[in-house]
Amino acid sequence: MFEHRPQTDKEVVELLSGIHEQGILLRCGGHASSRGVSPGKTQAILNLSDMNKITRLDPNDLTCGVQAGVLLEDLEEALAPHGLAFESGPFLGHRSIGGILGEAPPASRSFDRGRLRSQLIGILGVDGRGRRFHAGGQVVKNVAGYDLCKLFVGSGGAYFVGLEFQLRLVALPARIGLLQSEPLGLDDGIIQWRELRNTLPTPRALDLVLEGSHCHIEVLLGGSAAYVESQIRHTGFKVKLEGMDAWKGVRGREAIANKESSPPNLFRGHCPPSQLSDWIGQTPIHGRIHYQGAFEWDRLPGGERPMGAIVHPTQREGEQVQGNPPSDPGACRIAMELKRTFAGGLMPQRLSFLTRISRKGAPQEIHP
Amino acid sequence: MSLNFEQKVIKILGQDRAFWDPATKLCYSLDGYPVQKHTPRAVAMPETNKEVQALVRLCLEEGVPILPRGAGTCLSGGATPPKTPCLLIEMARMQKILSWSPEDRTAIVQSGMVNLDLSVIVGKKGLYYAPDPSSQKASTIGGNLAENAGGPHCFKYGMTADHILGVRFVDGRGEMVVADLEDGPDLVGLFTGSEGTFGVATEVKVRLSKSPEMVRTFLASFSSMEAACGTVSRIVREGIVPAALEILDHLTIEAVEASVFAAGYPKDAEAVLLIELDGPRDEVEADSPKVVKILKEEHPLAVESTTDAEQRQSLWKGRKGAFGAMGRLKPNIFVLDGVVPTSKLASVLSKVAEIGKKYNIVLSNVFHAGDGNLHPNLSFDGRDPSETRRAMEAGLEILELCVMSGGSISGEHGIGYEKREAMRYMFDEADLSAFRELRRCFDPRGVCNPGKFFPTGGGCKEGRSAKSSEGLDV
Repeated sequence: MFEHRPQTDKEVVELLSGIHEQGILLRCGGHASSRGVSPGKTQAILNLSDMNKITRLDPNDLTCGVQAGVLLEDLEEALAPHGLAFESGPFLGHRSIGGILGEAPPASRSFDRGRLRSQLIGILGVDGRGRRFHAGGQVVKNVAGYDLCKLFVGSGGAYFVGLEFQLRLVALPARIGLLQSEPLGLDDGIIQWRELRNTLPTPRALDLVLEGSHCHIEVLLGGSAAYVESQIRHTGFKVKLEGMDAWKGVRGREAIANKESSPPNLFRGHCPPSQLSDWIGQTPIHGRIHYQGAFEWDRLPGGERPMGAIVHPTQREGEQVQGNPPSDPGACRIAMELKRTFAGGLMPQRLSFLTRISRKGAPQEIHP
Repeated sequence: MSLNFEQKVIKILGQDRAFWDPATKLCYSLDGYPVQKHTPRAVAMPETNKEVQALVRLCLEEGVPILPRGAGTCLSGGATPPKTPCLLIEMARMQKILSWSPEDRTAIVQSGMVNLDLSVIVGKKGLYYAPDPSSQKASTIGGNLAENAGGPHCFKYGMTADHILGVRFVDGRGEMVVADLEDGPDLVGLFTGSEGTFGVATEVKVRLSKSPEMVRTFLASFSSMEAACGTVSRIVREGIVPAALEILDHLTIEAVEASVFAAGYPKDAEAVLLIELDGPRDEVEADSPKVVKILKEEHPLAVESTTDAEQRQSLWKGRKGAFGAMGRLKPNIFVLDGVVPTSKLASVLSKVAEIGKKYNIVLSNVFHAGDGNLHPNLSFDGRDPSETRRAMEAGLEILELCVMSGGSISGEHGIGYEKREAMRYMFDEADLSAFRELRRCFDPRGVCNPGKFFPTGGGCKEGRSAKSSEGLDV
């Protein structure tokens, strides 16, 4: 299998125009925790790690432009002198921005406006047939044109290649603190976590960390010193980390997965917080539940899945990733049209269930 | 006996919810964009998802364009009927809250629900729906979704897209689609801001926010627009994230103070700046002295601030009523919403004023300064064709200026009829082609809100077809 390492968008266009019938695997840094870049049956690799320039940094407008292969740690280093940061995360520093946006793994700070989809304000893309296009722009508020940025985030490159991204930045809070509770029983932990969701005004992260039969709560606070102090008193938790260490400190299963030679099973999904306790029961899960109910677990509870809970089979030992299929037949049909329209030979294993569906035809078969 | 189109609409809805009398059709012939006006073929008022689906399928069979409509407050012509007579689907009768969970802070509402009504209902549990376009007393959640509406408080809280978790819609094939943000590709994000060109939204799942513990509003007046804009840049750069940063210029102040919306703004000021801090008490109290310090260093004419709800409302009264007050300047107003980087606000505004002079158009500014979202208001008399043409030309030149300055042609009003030609300032043919292909994935026959969004001239296939017939966007 040949690996292409283009250095310009023109090279990417030429490459994809010429070989769009083949299976092209997209790789930015190769650190995806969902095996979005596993070779599978692809015939060529498009490696964007040489496209690693920060093309623009405008501290006054809190925006920047980066190529897909820029590593998060390099971006963070460039932002630090200006007191700025990337709001979503935390993600491992050696991951590329293209990979992070493409995979959009759940993370402690990635909720509400901190979601990755809210950080990407503009994109330069090339689809699987070598067609180059822009969407969005360089300003934080912009509704001109269809929002192809949203289609890219979390797609795993299933539709098109993102070559350059315009990002929204945030100013780092004056004080940042990561608090941690004492170990708690599962029931107590869930009750406390739900209560803190209601009483903490604006946490930057609020994770329930599951450790089998026990758990603990982690809270990331950011703001004025007075505000952080008052919230430390409110929770009664100990300060575990401060400053940038705290900002980068709440890492999810991704960190564990990357440290271990044999990654554990990883189930990602979302459950309405009000229904979590009934679902989890006493299942000895290892993993995290983030503020808005996104979770990363090593196993799923055996009981009935609550209404509104969604599980993505992103990674299981020995299984090939199939992507992130929507459960609604209508949504699936549109996802299939999008794949047909844009993907060409790009990332054939991503959303490959759609190909199977198109052969079978009937909407009922759409459910994987 | 075969039924004609109107009889088929009656068969779906009954006599009392289908209209084609001239008076009703005239009422629906335009939205908040005063330049374009077309009457629909008929107006339908469905009450259920199935009725909406049946109407869309009927239109597909008959080749009739579809225009979904909320409250018609759109400022870009997005809710103005296309030239080819369409079936206007009025969503006003689908305005229920279907379910909501205070703990999960989510609600599922019908798309015709009025924005502010939702906040009133969930307010009893200390929650609210954050997107607050100026039209929020009238505009609907579905309309806000279609345009990705903004508002004064989206500087801190984000646009409508940041608060939509799911959408149920009937697409351009007449199929019911349920898109959920947590489930599969982000079709929710694609649909939001698609201006009714992908289908008709019937239900929307929204994120609710906790009401802030404390709110402090500052009103500062300045002897120059540069000083007001400079203050905004410094606040943003300091890392303070106010809920709102709004500027009114001298002409707007004059119009407001002469109107029923008079708020006591100093008439000698060249600009007034409203700054609103909200959030936890400790946070607001920590940020307030920082704001005061920056304000002092920018030498304002006067500063006042309050946390009292009534007094805050009084400070906001002039800003909220500004567009109404513009009626004192000329009979019609054309509200632009171009965006520029905040660091370029002052220089761009100076050039905007020059464009106003060049075209001899009364031009005032009231805008969301925090995110650089300008609102140059071009006042004109629609009965005077020359003045109307000059207003349109000035508008296009201002939008081009915004793009040349690194910004966008639209921050919150959408493209609609108004800015379809200006799309070329931002996007080349390849970009537009990608947009057209994307649209076909939702609406292959181009029946949903045709004639908008895409430019009409210069080599664009859709444009040529739209220009010749302005029928379906195929």
